[in-house]
Amino acid sequence: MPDAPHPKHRDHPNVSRSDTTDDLRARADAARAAAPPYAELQVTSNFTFLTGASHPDELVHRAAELGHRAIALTDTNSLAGIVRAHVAAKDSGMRFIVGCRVVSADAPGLAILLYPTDKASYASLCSLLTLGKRRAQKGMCILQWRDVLDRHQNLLAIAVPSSELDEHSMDILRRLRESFDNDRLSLAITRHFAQNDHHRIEQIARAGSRIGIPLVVTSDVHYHVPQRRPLHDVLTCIRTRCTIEQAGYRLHANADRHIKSPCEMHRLYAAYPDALRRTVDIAERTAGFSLDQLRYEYPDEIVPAGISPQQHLEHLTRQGALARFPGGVPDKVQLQIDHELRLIDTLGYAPYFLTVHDIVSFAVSRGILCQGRGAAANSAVCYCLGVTAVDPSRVNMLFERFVSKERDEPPDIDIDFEHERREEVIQYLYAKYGRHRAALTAEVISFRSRLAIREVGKAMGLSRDVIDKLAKDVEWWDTSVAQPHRLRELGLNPSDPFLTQTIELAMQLLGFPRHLSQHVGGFVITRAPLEYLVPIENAAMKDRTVIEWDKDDIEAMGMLKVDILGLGMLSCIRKALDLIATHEHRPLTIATIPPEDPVVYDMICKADTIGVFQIESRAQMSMLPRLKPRNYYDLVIEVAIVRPGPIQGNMVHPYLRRRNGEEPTTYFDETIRRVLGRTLGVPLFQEQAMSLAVEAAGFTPGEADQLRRAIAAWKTRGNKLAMYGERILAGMVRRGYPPEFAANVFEQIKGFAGYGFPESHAASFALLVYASCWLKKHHPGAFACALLNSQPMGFYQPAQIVRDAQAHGVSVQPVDVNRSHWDCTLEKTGNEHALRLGLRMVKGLAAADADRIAQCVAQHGPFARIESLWRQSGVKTASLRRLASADAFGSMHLPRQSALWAIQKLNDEPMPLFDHLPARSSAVVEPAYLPRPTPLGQVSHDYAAVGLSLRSHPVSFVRDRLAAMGVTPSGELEHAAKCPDKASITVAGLVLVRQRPGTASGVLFMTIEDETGTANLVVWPSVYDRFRTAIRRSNAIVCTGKVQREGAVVHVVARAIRRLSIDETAGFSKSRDFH
Amino acid sequence: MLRREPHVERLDEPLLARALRRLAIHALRFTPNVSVESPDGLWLDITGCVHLFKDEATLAHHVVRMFNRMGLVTWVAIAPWYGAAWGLARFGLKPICIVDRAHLRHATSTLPLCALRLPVDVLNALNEVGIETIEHLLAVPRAELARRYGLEVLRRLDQAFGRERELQTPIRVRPPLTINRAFAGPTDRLETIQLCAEQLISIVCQRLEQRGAGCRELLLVLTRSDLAPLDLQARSSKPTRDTRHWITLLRPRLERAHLGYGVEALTLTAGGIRTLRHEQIVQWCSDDSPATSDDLTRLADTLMSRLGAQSVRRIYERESHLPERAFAFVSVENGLDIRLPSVQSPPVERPSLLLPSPMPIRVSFLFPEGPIGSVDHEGVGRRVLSCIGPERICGEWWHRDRFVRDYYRLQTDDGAWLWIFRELTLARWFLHGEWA
Repeated sequence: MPDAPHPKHRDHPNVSRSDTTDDLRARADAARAAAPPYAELQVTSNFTFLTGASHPDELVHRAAELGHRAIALTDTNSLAGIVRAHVAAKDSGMRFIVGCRVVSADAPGLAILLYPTDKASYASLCSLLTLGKRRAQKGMCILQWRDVLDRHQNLLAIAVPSSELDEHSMDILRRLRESFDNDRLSLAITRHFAQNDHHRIEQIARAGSRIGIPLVVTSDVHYHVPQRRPLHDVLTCIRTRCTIEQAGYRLHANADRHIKSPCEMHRLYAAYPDALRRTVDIAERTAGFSLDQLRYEYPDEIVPAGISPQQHLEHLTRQGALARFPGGVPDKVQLQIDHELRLIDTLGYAPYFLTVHDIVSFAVSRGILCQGRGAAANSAVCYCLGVTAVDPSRVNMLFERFVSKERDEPPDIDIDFEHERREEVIQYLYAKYGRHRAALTAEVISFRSRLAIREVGKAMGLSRDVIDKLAKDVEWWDTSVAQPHRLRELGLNPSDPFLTQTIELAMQLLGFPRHLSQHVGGFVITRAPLEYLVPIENAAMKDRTVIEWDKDDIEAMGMLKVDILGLGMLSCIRKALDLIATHEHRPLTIATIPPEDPVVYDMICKADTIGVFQIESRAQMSMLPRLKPRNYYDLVIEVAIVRPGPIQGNMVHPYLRRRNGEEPTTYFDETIRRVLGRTLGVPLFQEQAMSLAVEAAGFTPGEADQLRRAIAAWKTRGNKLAMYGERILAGMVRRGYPPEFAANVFEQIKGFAGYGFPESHAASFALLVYASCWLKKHHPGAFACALLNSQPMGFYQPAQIVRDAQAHGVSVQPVDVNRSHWDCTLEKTGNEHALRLGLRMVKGLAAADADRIAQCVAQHGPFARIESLWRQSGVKTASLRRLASADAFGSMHLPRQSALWAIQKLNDEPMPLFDHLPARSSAVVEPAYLPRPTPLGQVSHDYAAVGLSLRSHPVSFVRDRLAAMGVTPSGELEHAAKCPDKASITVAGLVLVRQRPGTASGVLFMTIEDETGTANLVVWPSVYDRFRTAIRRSNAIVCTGKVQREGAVVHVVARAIRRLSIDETAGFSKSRDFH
Repeated sequence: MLRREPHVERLDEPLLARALRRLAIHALRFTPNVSVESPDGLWLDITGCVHLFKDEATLAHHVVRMFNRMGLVTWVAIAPWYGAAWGLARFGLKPICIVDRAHLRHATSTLPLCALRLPVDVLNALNEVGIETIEHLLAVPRAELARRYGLEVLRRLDQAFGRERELQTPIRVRPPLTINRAFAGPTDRLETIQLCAEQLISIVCQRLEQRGAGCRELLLVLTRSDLAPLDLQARSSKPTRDTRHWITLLRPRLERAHLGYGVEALTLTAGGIRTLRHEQIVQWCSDDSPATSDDLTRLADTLMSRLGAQSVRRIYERESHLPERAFAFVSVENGLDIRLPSVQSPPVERPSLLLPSPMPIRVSFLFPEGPIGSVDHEGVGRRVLSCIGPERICGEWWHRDRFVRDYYRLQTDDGAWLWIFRELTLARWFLHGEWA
């Protein structure tokens, strides 16, 4: 299961926005009317990394409050923040000017601010920045001021001298003046409240009049309010790698770089009224361009000549439908297809679907497993095209959840590919569309708690050990470090003002962008070259290029984005299918796996689901015995129900009660039953919320989608919700529902529509859940083998996967140089297949070495002596040592120590004198003088070298000691007689998993394992606080608590936890920790 | 349970070496052959010394007791060969371990391999195959060991069991530099005492020159007939053996000393002896040659000896926008040539005189929001001719300053240039400096 993405500390303005905020705009209008005319043209946001101290939207909102006529954003050599500012400006009724501050290497004393006035000049600006960035390594931009001259048409420019104007700068100004004709060039004057302000400005004014460049006033804004000055100083320290005490003159002397009100500006620059007026002039001249004008165009090579995209799409859909429904397309599905195609035609999205279809066809042609996910699975057209796998005849489709007229933005399709072969798909896109038309979206890496505290602490000059203490203790999602008792616990003084100041600044720094990185798989593809839309830069990885905007920016701009994601389970499934085809001569695909097999559902109901897709987590495994899925749709519900939405909305228990027959299932009328019947009257899916609005309150499907989005945003900016509420009530009353019922329904919709799961997404995933369960039930060896070969993925470590496979009757053979390949394989032993662990399991072994060994063995047959293997394969002794540590010379009858002993004799350096000596043919004798290893030592060494042991479980060595302490073996937990509900119990074992779901009010779930089985612990926050160190840091624990039985689900509610030391080195297990 | 964090400090190797040497000097009372075994031990070769302490156990007890009194936890091992003793002292099970030839093998068998002073990679390789104690190691044929780990392993084994001898490098101690003179009878005549002291200083300086060293401290003890001995100390910031200089430093002390009934003897000891190969002795100096740095050092020393070490300081520049923080003082106790951080001065003008703390003044304007008309300072009103500014300087928030100052340069009608500021948060005016 992929880790859920870290929640951002600060949302993109597009995500948290509302549709209109009338009062914000009204206030901005009022402020503007009251203030004298002024527009701020030089603004540095925090997207000039480690320089600006405010977010773009903060700057825009502040300017709106103060009544500026317009505000520009001029980050250094970057356009990364303009979309955010643009969106914020729309919200607050502010005019926004796109700008950029170009700094060139050969003109250090002069920066040039550029502002486009139309689409063409914007394209020039983007390509200028692209030129500079493609020349340089990631994150840098190398430009020369002559580059600006080549692309100056229709751009407005302001030259900003950084200090006194010297001859070189004057030359450049003259040259610029020649190119930027038509009064497009200005010279900036800024008061810094420094000692020589007056003199400096006079000098600039004189120079301007000599060369003939008019003056303009700017404020050189770095933050939006003066209170941000400390943070700005700290950013300077971080950037220049010094502490605040050492910073000295690197810092500004005063807090003057904030946005000032127009009145203040008029007062300060009263001597230059023309320059003040010019700000508004420039603002008006740029009014010809707005980011809204960037209309996006789809690539067109995906359509054969002569026909339109829509026609091509309809043709492909027809073909696909026939392939999917060989017995004839059902009427319901045909109606759905027609409806979708009509909507696609109206909105002009055909090229989008064709692009995605092209990518999927490529993958299928290469045998790469792929599957669309998310809202796209609501589309029958996608099913026919082979993009998604959810059958419209089995699951209801609500196309408007995916594409709707009202949304006015193109759909967003995420496709999962086998994670190991994803790169092939990416390279195909680059090859087909070219580097200049396809690029990855960026991801803004921002400061999280740990990094923020470290950097701020370093800048403030705290000592390393204090910073380490603060940083290590903060889990990255923790924003409550400032609590006094936590500080005292760490041995720090909470009333030390320096410390509190540091923490405050670190909290302010949270969510600030740190640098741009490439997004995992979001691709942007255009018709015209991308560099006319947005600057492109080099990524850290070779052969990758990235645009400056992230996925929220892309969504706000309405561009086509396809997410090429990697899913580990797809790799695993394909490998398992390949193994089955090879060893049992039974070729299968996901589509041809026998559906609805009752024994598979038996296994699922018993929660025997380690390694299986989605339902292997703690929460899922405790839900399975209660929900008892018996068919595909039950799996869909199972995937969706264990989520924050239904849990918080209190839907889970009513559903379970109705399912078990404890509660009667009633519907108000037939309409409600149509919508909620498949979930027993309990709303679980977003589509159901939308359908309710459509069926019961008379919304159009498109409007229902708007409702869904409004509800998603209402927490951050409650606004139009009231209006929707009234419409729903009115609509339902009109259709004859009583008002209390209507109000109730609205409450329900509000409760879950925002974060409930899309049904289509659950349906896509449920297909994979079933496939993986089927494979695990019927071919456990192949499944375990494929799972091990696809690591890292999933919830569990190889040790647990192997243990689980053994519990299912698979015999597992250890790693062996003479028998193993790099990957784990199935070996035929008699009638059965045993799982042979592969050389990849040996920690630290390079794949190249492993391949060489396997090749040698294939060529020359099994080796009897290490020395001959060494000579033949030419691998270094270091690799052999790792193999020996992993006990991989068993077929040579050399246990670990003897093998190591033998290898230590070998010398990597060539000794030509000995080369022609005949190899000794004496038999290998296990040296008797080496000390015998202890069993615990063996197991410990196994874990260190391979990550698991096929001998005994580490805990079995201390079983006597545990029994003396009264510890119950975990295997006995499943027997209700021995461990009744509410009984006191003590269990012990290795820590496998620590999980703290965000919804469970701070409760921590742990799974521990001993030689008899696993135990699941529930740790409440009070207990967690008391035994924090033991819980967080121990590899193995002893837990005392009470048994909690609910049907077949058993937990131990912890009362006390302490560390269990099993002697020996602690290489036993690395727990997977989830938030 | 009381939880306390361990106190952690950075390891200072020279300090550690010096400390061990001092301990070694103490151990000289047991045997003349003591050497320092960094980082944590001493090697005492007690061959032929045991009979002075009755037997080995008693000697060991004496050693332990001596070091315990200094506050050190001590483990002692006595063995026929140093290799074994080294291992037993550090890894043995008892604080005092005495082993003779017959029992050596048995006593060392369970020691871990690190007791043999093996390099880390060899240790790791041996541990890898399960060889962890000396017993295990002895079981392996020597040829196999040599083949895999080289001859170092065998050498260390042999050193532990006497098959190979180890050489010791004992420490050498220099006697302290002390000279004393006794008078025929007690004298309270200052000139006599001074003359004698000067002679002693001259002898000490000669001895220092022979050693090629200089000292930083001279201690003159006056043994008085009716009172306790009087200590007079003179300190120099740099090691020196200049007789004139020391006489100059010691003289003021001597002049103020209370001689009592009379002084019977003088003892002069040199402290802080450091190597000093050459020292410039200026025979001539013409009047207009610039003062050398040695002169400055001497001046500083003399001032410090008269006024006290803390009273003589140097000023240096610091990077700060706030004028009162743009400089700082440092004491010259440790010499004049201390390294100061280099500072880039910004191109701002600062007044020649900065008041130690700003003084409140009253300011009146020609008209509201207009230029400054006159300045009232300590009752003296002056008319302002011109005003340049403002220069805004905010307080340093990391020092929890909350003020904001707007500085102005004023030219007054009596020709003075003043530097004043307006404190914006208090809305009051202050005078901060003046140009000469």
